[in-house]
Amino acid sequence: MSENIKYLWRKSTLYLFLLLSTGLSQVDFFGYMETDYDWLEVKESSYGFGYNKLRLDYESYPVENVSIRGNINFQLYHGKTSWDALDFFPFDTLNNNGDPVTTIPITFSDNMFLDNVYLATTFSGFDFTIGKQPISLGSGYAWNPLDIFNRKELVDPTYEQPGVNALRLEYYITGNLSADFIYSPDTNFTKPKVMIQLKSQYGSFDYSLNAAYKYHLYPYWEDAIAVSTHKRTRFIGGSIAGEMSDYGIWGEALWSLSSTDSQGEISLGIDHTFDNGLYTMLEGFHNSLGAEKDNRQAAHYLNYFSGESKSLMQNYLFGLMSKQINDYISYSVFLFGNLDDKSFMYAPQLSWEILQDVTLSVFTAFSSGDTDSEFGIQNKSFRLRMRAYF
Amino acid sequence: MVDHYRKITHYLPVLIALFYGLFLHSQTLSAIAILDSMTAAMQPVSAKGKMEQEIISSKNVKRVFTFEYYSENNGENVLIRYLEPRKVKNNAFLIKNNGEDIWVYFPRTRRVRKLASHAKKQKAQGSDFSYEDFSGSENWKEDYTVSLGESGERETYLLEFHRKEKADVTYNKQKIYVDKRNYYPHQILYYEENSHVKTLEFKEISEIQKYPTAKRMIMKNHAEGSQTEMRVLTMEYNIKFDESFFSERNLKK
Repeated sequence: MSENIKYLWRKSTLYLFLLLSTGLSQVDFFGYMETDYDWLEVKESSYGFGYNKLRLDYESYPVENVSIRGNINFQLYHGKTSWDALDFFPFDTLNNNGDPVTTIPITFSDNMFLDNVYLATTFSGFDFTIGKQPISLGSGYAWNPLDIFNRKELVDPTYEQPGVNALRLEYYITGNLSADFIYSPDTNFTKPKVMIQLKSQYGSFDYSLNAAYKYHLYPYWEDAIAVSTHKRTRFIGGSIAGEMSDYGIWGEALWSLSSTDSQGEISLGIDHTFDNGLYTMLEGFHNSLGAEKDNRQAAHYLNYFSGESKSLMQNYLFGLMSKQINDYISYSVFLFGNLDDKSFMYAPQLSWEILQDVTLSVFTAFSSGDTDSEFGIQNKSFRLRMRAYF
Repeated sequence: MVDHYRKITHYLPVLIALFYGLFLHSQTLSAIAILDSMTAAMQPVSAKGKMEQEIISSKNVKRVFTFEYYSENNGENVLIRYLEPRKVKNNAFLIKNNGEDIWVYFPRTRRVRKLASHAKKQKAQGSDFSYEDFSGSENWKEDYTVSLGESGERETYLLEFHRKEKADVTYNKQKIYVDKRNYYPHQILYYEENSHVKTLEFKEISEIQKYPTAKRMIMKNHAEGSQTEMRVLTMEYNIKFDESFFSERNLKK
């Protein structure tokens, strides 16, 4: 028995025990199995890869107004599992204090983990949630400046985000005014992320006023080489979502309070559904800390690939059109791009509900732009994904 | 004498117009009275129930959804929470102010997203009902002018609705056949650009807490050849909901 299988077996036993200890008779299990096959062409090389994933959700209500919820993810990779991040950079080598770096290896290993496990309690005027939990903030579709806990992928912005270890208190002041406090500690409790949100309504608009605190990553230049540092930063921001003249509009922003390092992110969006059911949407995004047009450096790529930054460069656009062709098949076309380096991706997608709980989706993407641009570096890609719920 | 006749002849068109106007007014009043009686009969002040929705495609493929349904203020505010199938388990919709405000909740991401009211034109979970079809009856008065038509049947009234000029609704015309005995609708015919696109039939009508209730409602989509049947599994009326029940907080539960 290989070490890998032994490890998985030990973990399975542990999680099974955890689940049984919550009282099997009261636990509701559900979830899905997902199979994904991808093909990608980058820098004139093509790769095949994918995964098989099992998401097992559980929820239990041990007493009134208390719930224990979460999910365990099992993920087995196939095809290419060892990558070189430099394949996605427009550089062949990096300069690390004078030493050339010619490879940045990334390996995906089979894994299983408690993605979420949290306790949610409801009291007369407030809700309290503790544990690793899903958090989703902001009104945007492809970008959420207010969401300091997650970053979305442009190729799949609605895909579920990993759980966030946090304490969350949602206090309901009046029928349409609430205060939301989220505290997410880091591993040694020295660099937490904090978000305070006041949320209300005015006419047909929902709006929020936000204040946040986190150690934010700033790229800076040292001898013409971009490096990065984390600085304790306070932010203020807000969001709106509503409707004007039959068009849905939304927007959100988060900006630092520092006068020396003034920086932030803004997104704005608009959507409309035509009488024939055709849904159209357009969203723009600005990240002041992204790379400027002619000043892309390795640090910007590293910050972006590590998830520290929501974008590589500063200005982006995301468009979507979707239509239900019949009861079971829907067609979508995504168009997103980097307005700074003029590179774009055009991605049609077909989604077919084969059976009541089984969905098959086919996604293709074609790029345009210079070969060293953000999206132009990737020629085309194809993804086949099947998901079956249970 | 001739002058007298001349005066009458002179004012005759005005008198006819006045009389015709009064006649039309009484017709409209009558139509509105029937509409009021119908909405009172078919939409009790508040309701709580469990329903099943079966979608049958043009190729006879079936899908079944089960959901909890809550409504207050004669359908002004509605909360729908899906129980089955697993794909949409715990997905929920909050529809307030007769469809003007719609929020949708996705449990896997715990995300609440406000939809613009144009989203009400979309199909609800791929069924032949749009979110607009779930909206409260107040829309009939706000968005349409109502008149009484000839049903051609002894036991029903025919209410005809024509979209007002600036109303943001999908259907330009609707026809409702209303039972003269209990003011409960038999069927609703929906028209887009004067083309008959859907028919909603009310079947197995029986009384629950003295309110006539259709245990089966069948929406036939003539344009796509599909149909969706809504079945009432349980229903309770005149529920006293908490003040915060139709709220984003409750949507997430």
